Amino acid sequence: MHRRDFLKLTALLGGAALGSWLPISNSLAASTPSGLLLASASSHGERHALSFGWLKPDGLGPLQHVALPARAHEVIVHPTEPWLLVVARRPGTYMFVVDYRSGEVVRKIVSAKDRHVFGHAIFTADGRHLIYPENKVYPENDIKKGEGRIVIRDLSADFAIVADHPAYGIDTHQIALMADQKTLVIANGGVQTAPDANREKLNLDSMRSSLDFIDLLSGEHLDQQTLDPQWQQCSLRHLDINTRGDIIVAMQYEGAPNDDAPLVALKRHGETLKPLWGDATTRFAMKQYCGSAKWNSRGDLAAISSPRGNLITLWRGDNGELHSTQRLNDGCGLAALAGDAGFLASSGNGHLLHIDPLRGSAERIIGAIPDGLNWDNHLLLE
Amino acid sequence: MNLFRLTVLLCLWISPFSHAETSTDALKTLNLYLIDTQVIPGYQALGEQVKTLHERSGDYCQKPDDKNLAAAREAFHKSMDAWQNVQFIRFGPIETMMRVHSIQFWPDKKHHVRKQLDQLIATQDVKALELSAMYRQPVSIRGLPAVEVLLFSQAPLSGFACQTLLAITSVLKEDTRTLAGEWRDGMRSHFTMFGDEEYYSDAKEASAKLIGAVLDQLEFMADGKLAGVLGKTQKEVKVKQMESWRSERSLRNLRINLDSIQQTYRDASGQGLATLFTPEEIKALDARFAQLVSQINALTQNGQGKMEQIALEPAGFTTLHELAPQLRQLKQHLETLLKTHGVYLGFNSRDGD
Repeated sequence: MHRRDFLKLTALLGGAALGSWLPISNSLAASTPSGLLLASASSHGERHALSFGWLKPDGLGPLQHVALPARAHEVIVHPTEPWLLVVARRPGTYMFVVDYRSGEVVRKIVSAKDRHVFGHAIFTADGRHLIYPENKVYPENDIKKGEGRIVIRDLSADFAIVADHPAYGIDTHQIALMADQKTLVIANGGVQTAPDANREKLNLDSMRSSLDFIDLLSGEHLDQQTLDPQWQQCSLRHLDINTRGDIIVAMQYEGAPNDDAPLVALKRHGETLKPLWGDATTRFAMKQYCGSAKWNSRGDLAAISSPRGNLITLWRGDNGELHSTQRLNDGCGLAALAGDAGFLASSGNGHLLHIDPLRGSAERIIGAIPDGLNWDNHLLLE
Repeated sequence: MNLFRLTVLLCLWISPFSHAETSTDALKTLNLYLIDTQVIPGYQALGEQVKTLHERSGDYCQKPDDKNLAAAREAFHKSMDAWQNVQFIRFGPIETMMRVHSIQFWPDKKHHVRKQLDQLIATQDVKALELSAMYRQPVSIRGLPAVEVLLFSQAPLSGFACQTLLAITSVLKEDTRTLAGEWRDGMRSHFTMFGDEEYYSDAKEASAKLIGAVLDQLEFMADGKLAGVLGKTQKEVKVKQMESWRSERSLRNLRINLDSIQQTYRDASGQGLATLFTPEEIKALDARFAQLVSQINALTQNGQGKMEQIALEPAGFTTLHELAPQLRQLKQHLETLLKTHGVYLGFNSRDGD
């Protein structure tokens, strides 16, 4: 269902009129009694920042901006400390830890000379370890060669590196911990790029992408999941995991624009990875590119953003069917709201949209968002 | 003092633009100008040419002689010319019913068009050629490439193959006849009314879509029509992957694409994207366009030069090979200039990860 249809439906049902800069919806208000921390990497022209503020029932409060040396990708929050961690976009090399109460950068982490980060990281649930993928490049032998690595730092030991495991793939992107806090799932995108040549893609005809599972402690390769070889040009890049251990995957297809390829995949706990298809019209409208994946709080509905198609698609967790669609120009960042309140989505145009699947509605969030600000790939709401 | 202390910049980070900001009025005017002078007339011409193609195909099927075959082929060329002129518009009404793929299914690495067409013809099922049944056929055989296979590879056509040709041109006629009207009576309004409940929130967002489509075409030309089929060395040339290899008009397509991009940049009256730029910037861009036009003209040799042949000669391959980076540079040049004038063509949609 498109936005216009949402609007018509709401009008037919006698619901509240929707429009620009209206107060936050009741469902969002109910989920935010004391305000939620909203954070994302952002850009404004050629300037880049970590931007964050508090989302309250009356809208988004004033944003704070921490200047960054280059474009960043994902922002995560520490489970116990008042810290945000922002990760550089590949092939960047920095991660900043920021105290969101003061705005101070309390720690700056830089990759080794032959490494760069991939834009993603996670904290363990107890907050003791920081885990993130890196690309190890081999300039002496072959500048184009790379190897995905999983680096683990111990915060209690002054962020010392305590493990450096192989990722069992290249173009290592988003990672997540299974509920056991011991098994790490890794999205290896499979696309080989030259870090120094404007991220030129070098192996599209032979690329292999996979979901890999490793034991966090030993680094042992526990499992690898791939799609059927005919979809070898589907790059598995972004994922989210629900409490049941089901993994939703947002893909980017590197083949021709008229190929009818899957762009979303689901690996239910105990099952193999399977593509989700939806209908062909929606599939082509997604323009072979998904940017972010997020389960709702209940873990029964997943949102996938397709910024090139200006589309957010919602997928049912129980049967893998397409639930509905929502238009959002340049929309990419996704965050889950509490209970049945749905999702918050951010866009490259600086907009924030509350998507409420139950009411079939979408409302723009009000707030003092500077004109010209671009929300980057991912959105954090905590 | 902590080295990393307090880098928070509240409002300071968001300082006023240091470059000339293009007004939303200027962008709105530009959008509507491009729609009224390029998009709608372009689709109008496409609808008319395809209608003629259907008629000439009918003449040929009624009397399959050389004269009628030549007339049908000429009508195909004019239809493909018209399509190439609007090929850059990959959004809006053309997306409905997947017409963006059905009017021209390409690239076709796995030769879907010929394979599906062979399957359809093998059935000899006339009911499958009815208009409603044709819409259940794969998109690969509902457009110009399927017509090209029939007119340039399989002619003279047998009775059923000719009926298939007519069925395909009939679908094409149906798919193209309303595009101009769909823009004029529907899509155009999205470039005049903005807001949270509208298609685009403001003229900038609408411009990003329209101008972005123009720039994307330069990339498609460079990566899809040239680099993708030429490879890195002459040994890697894939003639049968070229856009219109059967009718040997792949270079002609490229020439028309460049013409249409140049028209959106600056038409005969000086209108177009160029109105956003300074005279010095226009001078530099003019030079880039002139160089590309000159190189492609030299290759086409008044229509005699064919990419399908030139790419197999060392000198020709080199010249063709050099076009791709120049097209990318032109795209980069335009994008950079647009940014300096405050026109951003998308963020996550253009440079995501």
